[in-house]
Amino acid sequence: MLEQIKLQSSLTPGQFSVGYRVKSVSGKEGFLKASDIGMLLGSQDPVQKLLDATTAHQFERSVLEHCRGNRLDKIVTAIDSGTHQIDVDGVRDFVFFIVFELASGDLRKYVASDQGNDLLWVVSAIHNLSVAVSQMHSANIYHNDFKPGNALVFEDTEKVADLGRATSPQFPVSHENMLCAGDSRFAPPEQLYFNDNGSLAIDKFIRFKAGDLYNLGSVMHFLVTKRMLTPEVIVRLDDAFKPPRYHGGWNDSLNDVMPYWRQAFNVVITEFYDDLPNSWLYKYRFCLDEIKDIILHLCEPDILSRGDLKATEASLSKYSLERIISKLANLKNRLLVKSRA
Amino acid sequence: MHEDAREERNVLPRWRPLVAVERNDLSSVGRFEKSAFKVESNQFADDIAIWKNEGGIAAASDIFDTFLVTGDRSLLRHAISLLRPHKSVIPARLKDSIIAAFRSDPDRLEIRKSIARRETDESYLRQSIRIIKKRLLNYPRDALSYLELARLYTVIGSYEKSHKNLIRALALAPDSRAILRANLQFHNIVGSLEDGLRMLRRSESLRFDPWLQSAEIATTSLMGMSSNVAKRNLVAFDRKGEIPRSSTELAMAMATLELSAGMAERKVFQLVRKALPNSTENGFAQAIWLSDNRSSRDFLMRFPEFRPSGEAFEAKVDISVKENNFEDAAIFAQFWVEDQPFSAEAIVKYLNLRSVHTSPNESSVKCAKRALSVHGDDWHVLNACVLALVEAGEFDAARRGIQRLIKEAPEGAAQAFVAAASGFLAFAEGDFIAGRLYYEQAQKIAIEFKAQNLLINATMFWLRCEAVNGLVSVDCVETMRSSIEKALGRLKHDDKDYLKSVWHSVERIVSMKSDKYQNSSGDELLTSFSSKLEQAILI
Repeated sequence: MLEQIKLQSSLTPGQFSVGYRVKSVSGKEGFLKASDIGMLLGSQDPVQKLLDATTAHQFERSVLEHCRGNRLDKIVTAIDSGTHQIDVDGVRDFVFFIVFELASGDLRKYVASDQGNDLLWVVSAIHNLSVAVSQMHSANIYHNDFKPGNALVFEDTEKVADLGRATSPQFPVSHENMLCAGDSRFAPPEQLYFNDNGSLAIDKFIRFKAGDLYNLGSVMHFLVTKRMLTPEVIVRLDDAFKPPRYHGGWNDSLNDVMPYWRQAFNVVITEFYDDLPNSWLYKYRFCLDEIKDIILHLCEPDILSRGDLKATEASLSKYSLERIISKLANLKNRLLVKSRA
Repeated sequence: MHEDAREERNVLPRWRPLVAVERNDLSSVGRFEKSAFKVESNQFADDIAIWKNEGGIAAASDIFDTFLVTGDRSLLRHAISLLRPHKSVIPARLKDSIIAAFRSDPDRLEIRKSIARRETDESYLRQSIRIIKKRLLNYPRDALSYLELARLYTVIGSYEKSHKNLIRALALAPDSRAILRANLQFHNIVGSLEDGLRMLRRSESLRFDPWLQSAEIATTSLMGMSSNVAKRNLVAFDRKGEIPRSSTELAMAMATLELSAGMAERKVFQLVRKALPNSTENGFAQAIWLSDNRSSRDFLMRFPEFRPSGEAFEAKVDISVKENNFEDAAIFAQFWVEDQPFSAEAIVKYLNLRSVHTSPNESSVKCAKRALSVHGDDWHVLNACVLALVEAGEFDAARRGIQRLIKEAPEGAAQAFVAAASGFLAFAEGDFIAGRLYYEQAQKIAIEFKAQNLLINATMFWLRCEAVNGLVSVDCVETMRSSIEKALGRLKHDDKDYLKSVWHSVERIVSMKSDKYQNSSGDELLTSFSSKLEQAILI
């Protein structure tokens, strides 16, 4: 072990994990996420907490193994995992651990740095992350909590991490029945407002896939503008139309609030170019235009209109990212040529 | 000669720019308040602790985003305290969002007044249409922009285009309250309420939304149909036993329906009383109309403790007219017209107040000219326009108005208005002989159709024309005054109070002009008519 790392907490049940930077015998560095069961025993309902923690740990391990088995190179996979027995003051305790590849940081930090001002890096990151999401989807895994804190930056690529809130038809998990399984701050509208209408009575995994598309678009918006999309929409909504909260917000159906959400969303997209560096606007406007169009497409507020418009029925194939990835690859090349010109 | 256009009234929804609508009127009715998933700040307790510890812009941004989704303002303070050391490097967009979070809800009434004033200018309206059309090219699924486009087209009288855009808006958001209510008002304007009602009844939201239920009851009442939803127990009450704003229009619609169905006044007005404290301005105006026109006591006597709110222009017009305060009434009527520029009722009231009770001004002339083109098929509006334009000396426009009035006025008693309007213009242009002939004709029509109110009305205006031009003697004026007052005393008609207020204004003008009487050429005809007037009223 080299040092303890401050963990960016997630919504994983039971905040009982500690992160460490570790080094293997062969000299390869990694990130170790250790989950100490002893930390749960002091909670109000230790049995439930214990159950949640072990289920979550087991679920994450299974999903990660599944990813590794499918050779998903844009997903931060586990190098190792296991259980370690320790004795503290004569009491036997167990620690679960998973060792991940060690990244140099996450998007949250990188975007604030100088690298965040390099459009070529931004487009490359957008492309890599789109490939990552697509890879996950091809393995029938839906992330549900894709946000800048969960997009890690490595020396030569960007990868998606933290599958703690993921869902998959192969791995049943309790949070797949929640309206919003991930971070509600960045969630798409269908995960924020109540809906009991027919339009959303679609397969939950289709919903998760469509949600991932929205989150991907939102992360693209973050990479360009330094702000996620959902908070930008919410700040432009009148209090009456904001997501339900204890004192106010919209307590009717999603369909009824949709025109207002869409109007605020349109404002955010219209203001997409505001405050961007002049160098981007003058030289790379074509690139920004295309990214804006992709965001508009991915973050479409109506889940049924999101994804491929030609597919009228909501199906898994409707929310495929293939076309967007090839568009981004092409854009990356054009940008490279333009920047060298 | 002029008339009070409102025989029936109900709480048909208003149609305003969305940005100027009170947010309470658009907010949810709380159908899923108990079952909706609410994001709470304690769900983020661990994260918040980490962010606070971490500090910096990224952490502040995370806390700020948590505030946005939870509404917990203490988080906003935390975010700002974390940002304070980095003041100079806060990303512009984050800074803008934080400033926006502090912005309080704007004064919707002020916004409404400001938009309404600008929209009296047609070039502004056309420019707004262009902007919205351009926006729709980029965002073709924006139902609310289609709605706004439809409203602007309605203001300029392009009803076909307006209808097309409303259909698009409805296709995109079929259950939206704002769109369904506006659609109903549109169909009221173009005279096809049954179509609007059909669309409203198709909406799922009609089952639970009091704003739509009130619209359905109001529409069916006006159309003489039976409502699908009218039930008194739909009206919600708050803990204080008052009716919340969302249900006030429903309560007023129910009260109107119950009163016309013969329910006891006491019971009906109990409901009205509970609705008045939180009532919308439309509901307030309905309460006044209901009390003044359909019950034994007028509003001011029945509810002396209630005064209309600042936005209730229509209600204020009615109260000011009742108090004979015509100058204030005209000002409120102008606000009403600006607020509801497509409302024929508002236009008729405003123009009549300006031309009969006060004096025309630039705004009333502008309003009359625009109404001529936008409401060219509504003879009530045309009549009011002619009166206002003649009074303002705009004879060419008035002549055009009369041509259209001749075309649009239906056969029967309404022809008396055409004759009287022609007489009014002839007198103003100095053709007194033609003027007298027209007024005689108006009186004959009124007698033929036993329209006593029209007879008195025509006589008052004839006297006014003669007096203004100095064509009658003081004796004749006295004779006519006594005949008209007698006739008014004996009149049994809903318009009695209204005609009295008109006479009040006509008499004032006649008295003012009494020193200018030069000849008495009008005496003979007028005096001969006074006996006819009394006989006609007695019959």
